[in-house]
Amino acid sequence: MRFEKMKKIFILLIILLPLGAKVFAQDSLPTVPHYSFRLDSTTIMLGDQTVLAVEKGPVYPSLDDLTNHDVVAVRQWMDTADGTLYTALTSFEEGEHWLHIGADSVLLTVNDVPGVDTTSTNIRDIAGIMSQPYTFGEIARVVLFVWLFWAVVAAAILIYLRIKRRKPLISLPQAPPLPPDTRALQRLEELRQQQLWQQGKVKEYYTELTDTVRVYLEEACGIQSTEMTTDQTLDAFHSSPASGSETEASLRQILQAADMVKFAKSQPQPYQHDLALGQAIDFIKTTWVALNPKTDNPDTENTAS
Amino acid sequence: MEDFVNIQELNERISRESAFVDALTIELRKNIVGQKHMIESLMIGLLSNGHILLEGVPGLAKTLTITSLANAIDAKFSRIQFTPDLLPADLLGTMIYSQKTESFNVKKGPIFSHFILADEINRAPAKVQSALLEAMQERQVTIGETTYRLDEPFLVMATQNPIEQEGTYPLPEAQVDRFMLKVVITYPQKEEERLILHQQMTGATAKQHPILTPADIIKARDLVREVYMDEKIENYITDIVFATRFPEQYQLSKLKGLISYGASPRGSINLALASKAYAFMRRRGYVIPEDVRAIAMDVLRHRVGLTYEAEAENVTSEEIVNEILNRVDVP
Repeated sequence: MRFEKMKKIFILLIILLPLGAKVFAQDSLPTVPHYSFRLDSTTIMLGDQTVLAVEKGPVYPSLDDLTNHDVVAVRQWMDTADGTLYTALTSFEEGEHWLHIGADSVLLTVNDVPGVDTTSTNIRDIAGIMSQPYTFGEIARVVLFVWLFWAVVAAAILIYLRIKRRKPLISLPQAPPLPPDTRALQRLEELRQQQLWQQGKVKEYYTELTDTVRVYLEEACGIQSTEMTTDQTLDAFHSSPASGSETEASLRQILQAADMVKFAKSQPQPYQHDLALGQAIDFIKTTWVALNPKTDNPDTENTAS
Repeated sequence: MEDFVNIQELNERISRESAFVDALTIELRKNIVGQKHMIESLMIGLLSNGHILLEGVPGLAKTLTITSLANAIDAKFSRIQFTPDLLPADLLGTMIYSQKTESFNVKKGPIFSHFILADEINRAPAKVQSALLEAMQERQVTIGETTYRLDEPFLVMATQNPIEQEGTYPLPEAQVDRFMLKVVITYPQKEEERLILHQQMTGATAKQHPILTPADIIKARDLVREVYMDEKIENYITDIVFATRFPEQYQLSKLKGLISYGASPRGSINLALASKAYAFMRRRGYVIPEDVRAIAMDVLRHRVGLTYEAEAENVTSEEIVNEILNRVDVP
């Protein structure tokens, strides 16, 4: 009896075993979730993109689920503010394609680009480059470059000229030059101290004397005396504002006496050498005062002796 | 001190001996109105043994001046009109066969005179110009197998007409260089013109008398050579001549592109000689820079060659010489 009971139970188990397996099998199948989503457009042209937005959920559909052989994902990004996942999709296959988003599906229709009938339209050239308005940044860059270029060119020319003229690249400020009369009187004082005629160098003495007077005339009166003969110098001095009957006579005497020494081997008496120097000093002082009537020149007083 | 005495003595001697210059000038001025510069240049050429090239339009008393000079010095004078068909023999002379003696006799040409006026020298072909210029330089002429010395003083005054170019043979630079002075003569002043007119209309031309002999001129030439020229003046002359060759060395770089060639050493020598003659005429025994300046233009204007650039810019050799004289430092 017991054996029979056990046999029934065994048979019952044999019958129920597949059923239990079935029930277990049902319990192990994955649950397909539902997503809340929206698609920008369900109809696109070949190669166009449409964006699928899946709202925040516990999980998001994977890219593999969204795409297939015909539909591809271009890019995917997440809006961190509301947790929406965006996926840009496109397709290069004409036709209708089902997109499976979790338990839901949506139909994406992809249309082909309409063909161009080249027989009915004229062939046109490639469109030219479109001009865009210049921006301030672009203009500023060009202007800056031009300024920089010319600055470099100017600097190069300046450096070249200074090198050519043998001037220092950077010139330091110098003391203002002494007035012509002061310089001339200083030179005459130096001439006196050199004692040239005492050493028998009479010609050198008179040459230096007349050179000093000629340079003074050039600087003070604007008479290019160093390139003029005695007669020309006297003519030019005659029309100078510094001219007077005494100064003219004095200049004539100085230059002509010097000419005699320089060109005719004349040998004046020793007292005449100092006399000529004194005449030159007087001439410079008198003419300088005539040229600068209001100038009170203490230097002149100090240097002339 | 000895030098000083010599100069003083020379100065006095020259002052004494050069008195004839004034007399000669007065004699020439009897019939020539104006043209002071031409007369002065003629005297410089005479005293410094140089020849003169005159440039100026016709009718400016060129012939009258040299004729008057010849009369005043009691010298032989020839005027030769240069033409395209002139031959060297017409100028120098030739050998002529004498049937009577059955031999060749020398027939001397017009060049055998003391003073020659070679009128319009650029109208004769090169061979005639060359013959004249060689005679000017060598002071001798060879006819046949005999060489004849030319009379002293021998002065050639050649003229060029600047306004006609057709049918002329311009003198080459090397031949122009043989003239000591190139004098450009201009029209007389209005008052001078009136005097000329008056003289010619009234026939009030004075008869000239010889006041000198050729020997006096030769003696004066020797004295001119003695005129003292200081080293400073020599340097000044050298500077002026060098400035025509290397203007950039005298702060005259702007002239560098305008000068094709500068004055030759003959230019320096002539400048020195003419300066001495000028000093002599001023009755001085020494040369001063004024003397050099006074004659530098006439000595140098035909010795400075111009480039095409200068000609294109209408720059004249006178302007260049002026620029140089105004730039070179005077001693």
